[in-house]
Amino acid sequence: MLSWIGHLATAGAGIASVAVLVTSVALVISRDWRASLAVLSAQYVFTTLLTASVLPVPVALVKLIAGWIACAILLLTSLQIARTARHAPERASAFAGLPFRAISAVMVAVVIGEASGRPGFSLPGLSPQVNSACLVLVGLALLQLGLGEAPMFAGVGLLTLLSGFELFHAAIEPSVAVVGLLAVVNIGVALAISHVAASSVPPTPQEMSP
Amino acid sequence: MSGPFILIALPLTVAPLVYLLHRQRGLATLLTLATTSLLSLAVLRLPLAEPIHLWRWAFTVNRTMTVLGRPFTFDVDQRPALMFLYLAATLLFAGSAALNTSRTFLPSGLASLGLFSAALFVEPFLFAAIFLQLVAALAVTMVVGPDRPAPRGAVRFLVYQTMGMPFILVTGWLLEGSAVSPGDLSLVTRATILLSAGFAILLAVIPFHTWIPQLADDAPPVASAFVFIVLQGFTVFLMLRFFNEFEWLRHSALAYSSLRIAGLAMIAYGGATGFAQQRFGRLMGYAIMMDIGATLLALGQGTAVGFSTALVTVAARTFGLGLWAVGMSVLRDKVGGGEFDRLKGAAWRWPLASAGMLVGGLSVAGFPLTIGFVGRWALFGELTATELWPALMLLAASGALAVAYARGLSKLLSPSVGAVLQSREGVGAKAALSIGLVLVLGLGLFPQWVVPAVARAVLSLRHLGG
Repeated sequence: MLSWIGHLATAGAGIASVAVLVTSVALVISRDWRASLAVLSAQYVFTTLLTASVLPVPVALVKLIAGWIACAILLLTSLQIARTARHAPERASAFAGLPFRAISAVMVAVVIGEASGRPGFSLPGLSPQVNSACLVLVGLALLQLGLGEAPMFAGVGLLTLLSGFELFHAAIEPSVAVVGLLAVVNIGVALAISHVAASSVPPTPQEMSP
Repeated sequence: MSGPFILIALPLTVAPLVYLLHRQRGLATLLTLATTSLLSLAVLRLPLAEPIHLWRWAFTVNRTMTVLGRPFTFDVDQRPALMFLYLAATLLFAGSAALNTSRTFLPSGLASLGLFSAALFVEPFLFAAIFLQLVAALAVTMVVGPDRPAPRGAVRFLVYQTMGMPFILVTGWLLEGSAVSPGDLSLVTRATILLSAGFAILLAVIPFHTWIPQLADDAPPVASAFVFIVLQGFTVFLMLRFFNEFEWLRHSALAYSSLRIAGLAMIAYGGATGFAQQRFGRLMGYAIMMDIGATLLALGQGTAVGFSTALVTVAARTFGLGLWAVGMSVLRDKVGGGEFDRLKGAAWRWPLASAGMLVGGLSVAGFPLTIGFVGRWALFGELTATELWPALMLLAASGALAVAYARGLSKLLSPSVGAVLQSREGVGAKAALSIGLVLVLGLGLFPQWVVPAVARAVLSLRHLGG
């Protein structure tokens, strides 16, 4: 099965690269946590396929597992927040600011797409598809981090940023220990963001009563 | 068994136990202090690579351990950095015993010490950036306090610490390339730029500074003090290690000029913006920015005295900021905020806490008679040997912050009708504040008790000691 994944990674690098672009744009646009986490989980699949083109498949799968664990942590926290949100003040609609986010994401994606084809923006040791995916992930993650500080969405942005960096770093430093440490970093970031997000929600009347 | 294993595993193992004891605050604090004391003892006394005889048993504690092919090595020259980390953490943990901190402060702080040790031991040491990132994630759980929403700066702090890590890691790869092609100076230049960018982000150089005043204002003071003292102090140690290890960096005019420019910018911005503050939390944030700027300026001199001065500044920040944190914690708990107007007349009811907050804050600003002035004075001497205007800028910034503190003092001392001087702090807080005041003022008057030992720590870095 692992060899099958390896063949898929080699053959589908272009498709995975496009999928990474689509998922990254979707993450910037979306303000619904369910959709964001689902897209992030899918993004991890595609980044793992791309990573499998520079690292051994078992090592690349570590990144997928770590990413899904991070998504699970954020999901559990979001569910908890959603349960208490009934008692919270009304939040802004998920469609607020959608046109601005969409246009920004598309603009950044176009700029990165254009730049990634130029020699000065070619990261060493990476195929053109993986190179584009790296730049897309990092660029759109920075855009997402700049668009707001809501903990959950900042967390998604951070995880996306780390995905993009790890894709490049895997090519220059394929050490198993470092891959493992970076996987732990992903989980650590998810835990930290969850802690902040959970603390940002006002307590329910039940929690406040003696 | 190995030394690195003991120093990394012990705090990481004890941290969950401390968390489980969070309802018994005294017991949790005792366990934490016992662990840090044991760690300090191990750093000072543990014989490495020599047989140890304990009654009928004989064993050797190795210098190195290997995890997944990566060596972690405990060298003698790492002892000063480790001692600073453990002593600073011990002071903060002890001070927190009398305060209302979050249940995660002690366990997260303890676990951080294990990760700091791992960061110091890992080879190549560039990978310390990964452990620093893990510490940042732990620190976020520390600064989210009980009964208050998450501080505004917490997420931003995590974002910037995460952004700084890749620059440090990629530098390692560039340096490998420069070793293979020593004639290619462009690789060295790129490495310098990337390294500068990485440390600029990690040390919150402008424009990556916005989280500092937010965290200082919103987060529990002792938790934010841990971040500003231990985490930032470790980052300075890491930077010194880079200078020690790489000759090209030691002789890089670009690196030193970058440090000086960054330092001056931080000093100017911290002083100018701090002057206008009306909240003690934000005022301390800008004082810390100025202090970081002074540290960078000292490093930017590129001399043995400059490196020693930077270490003294970092050490002095421990005492001043720790004292401020205890005082601010007490006042914030009693009054509910750190605004000057809200704390009107507070000095009449909580004189020790008010004094602790003011003296600690002035120490970080480099006011005379405090421990913080010692590093400033050394820096003044170093600066005036070449140019006068940076020293004048530093003096002006310190003066601006002192004026802001004077404004705050006038509010604290504002008499209210029927005000009678009485000390309403708890016994534990009184003890912590009294000890803190004695340390900050005593060491300011008699710096020779501690400062020479701190300054000599730079000698452990062979190429920086002069």
